[in-house]
Amino acid sequence: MRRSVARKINRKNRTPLRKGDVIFYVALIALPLVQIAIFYFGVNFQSILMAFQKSVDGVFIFDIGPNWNKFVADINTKEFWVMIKNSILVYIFTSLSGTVLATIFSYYIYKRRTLSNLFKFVLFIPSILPGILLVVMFQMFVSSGVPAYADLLFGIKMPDYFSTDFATSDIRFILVTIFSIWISFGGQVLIYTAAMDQIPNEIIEAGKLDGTTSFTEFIHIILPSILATVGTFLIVGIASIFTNQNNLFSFFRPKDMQNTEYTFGYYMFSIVYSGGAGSSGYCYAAFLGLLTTSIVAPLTLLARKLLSKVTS
Amino acid sequence: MKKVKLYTEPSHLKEKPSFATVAIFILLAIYTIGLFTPIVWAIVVSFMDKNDYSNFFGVSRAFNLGIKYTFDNYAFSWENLKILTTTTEMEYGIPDLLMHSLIYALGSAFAFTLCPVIVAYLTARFKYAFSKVVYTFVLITMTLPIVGSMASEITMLHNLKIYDSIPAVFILRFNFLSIYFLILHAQFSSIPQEYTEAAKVDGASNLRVMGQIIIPQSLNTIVTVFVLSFISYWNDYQVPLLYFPSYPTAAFGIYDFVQNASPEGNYIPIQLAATLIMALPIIIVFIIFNKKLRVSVSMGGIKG
Repeated sequence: MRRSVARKINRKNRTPLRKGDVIFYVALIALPLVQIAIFYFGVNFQSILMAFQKSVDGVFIFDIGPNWNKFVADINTKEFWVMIKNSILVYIFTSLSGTVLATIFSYYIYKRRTLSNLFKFVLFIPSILPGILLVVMFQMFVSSGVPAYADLLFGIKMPDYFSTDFATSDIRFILVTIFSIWISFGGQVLIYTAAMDQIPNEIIEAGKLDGTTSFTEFIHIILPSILATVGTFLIVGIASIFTNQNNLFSFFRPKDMQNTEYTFGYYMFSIVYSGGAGSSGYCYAAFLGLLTTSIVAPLTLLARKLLSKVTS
Repeated sequence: MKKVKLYTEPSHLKEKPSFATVAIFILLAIYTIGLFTPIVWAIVVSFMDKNDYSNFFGVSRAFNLGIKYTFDNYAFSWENLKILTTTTEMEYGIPDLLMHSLIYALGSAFAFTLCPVIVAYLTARFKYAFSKVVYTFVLITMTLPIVGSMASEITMLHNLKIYDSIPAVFILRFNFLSIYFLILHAQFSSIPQEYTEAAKVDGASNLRVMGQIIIPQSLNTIVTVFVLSFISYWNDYQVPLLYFPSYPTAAFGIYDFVQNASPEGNYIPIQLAATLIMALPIIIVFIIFNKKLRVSVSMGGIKG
């Protein structure tokens, strides 16, 4: 009896099926569904197939041997593990430290402190300007402008820190990562500020009446209120461990790159870039994609579950 | 008798700046200076005579009297800097790169906006069981990350014989699996059904209700989605590089001019001038839509 009542109530919330409405609905949704069928399901299914294939004269044949052997050969090299280390370091520095900085800066802007509107505008700029433009300016300024300032102001002769003649891969990796952190957290600041604006003023005022300082307000009221938003960014960032190229392709030509500067995301991109369609490189890229998805997907779901437990 | 005005404190109470506040201000100031310094340096140097500029005289000479500033770098870049494509071995100058970027960014943004508008409208306004399926599917795809499908996507374009064409990418962009679907769905859901019912009583068709009543009420959001997408596609150079290498875009032009500079273009002032020309359209878009974009980023974030 109760189930039939619930069903009736549920049906009331649904749009009644009228012929004209259904024809209109089907006609408009058909093309997007066809696109999804081909370019989401079709592409991902093909990707799974390619992971178990090799290329012979541009034709894909089922044979997991070459992909697996290449992967085993890769993981037995020192460079592969340096690449994994770089990827994790980039995640830690950009996602984690970027998130910490973004949260603190957001609180400053939320409290409408001195020049907060200017800082809000400035933080948004890296999200709008082409990344390659910022890379060019940053690289030329560090290579050319900074040595000029150092020489003119302090009499210090500085080298070009991006030149392979001078810089080691560690120095270049540090410079590139600093750049990545520098441009990474601007968009987050705006989102966190908006999330903080959603906190009811009554809660803030009640805290003030109880004698909270800015620090205790930040720790006990602000952070818990925006935890879901911050957590979502960190969770989405987990996949970026394997996709983040750390702007390496923008900074350096592939032939000038050293293996110890790679991240996993750059390595996968370089396989696709240098391989060409129909090549075994594409099959290997699909194999690596399948492997990383099988690691990242459960990790992301687990992190989401943990976050929902913490925030509930 | 004088009325006593009750004092109500604002919700953001003004406090004396603490040490932490001052420290954060200094950090933000350093960030602002750090961001603007290379940009200002690049703009100033781009106007310097290419022979006048040397590695040891950057901005410091900018304030010297008698320094020669010129638009020649911009004129030279516009007329002479070319990219040679490896696929068709054709040369493209800056005007061609800007045209390719405009076509790619406009078409992709249009496709990427149109599809979620249509699907979000249908699923929000027509409460069929299938609408819920579509909504749940979008949530699942956003939750479940899939890595490394680029090789398969390019292979699919080859198989369909539409590789290396800009319109093929429009087809790729015509999908609704993005945060914008959720934003638009919420937007369309918030418009009362009474509008639709009243229009239908007056004899309006479904298409007319969608096009003349519901969508105009959401035009602000739709335009913002379009502009954000346009900026994103204008700035993208890796997809054009891999998906249609025969039609290089402005963003790729910036990369190529700097990384593979020809002898006549291998001067920093000229490279910076070329870079700034190609970034100018997006800077203009940013100036025009600045406030709207900042609001939309926060809106997207909350919805996410």
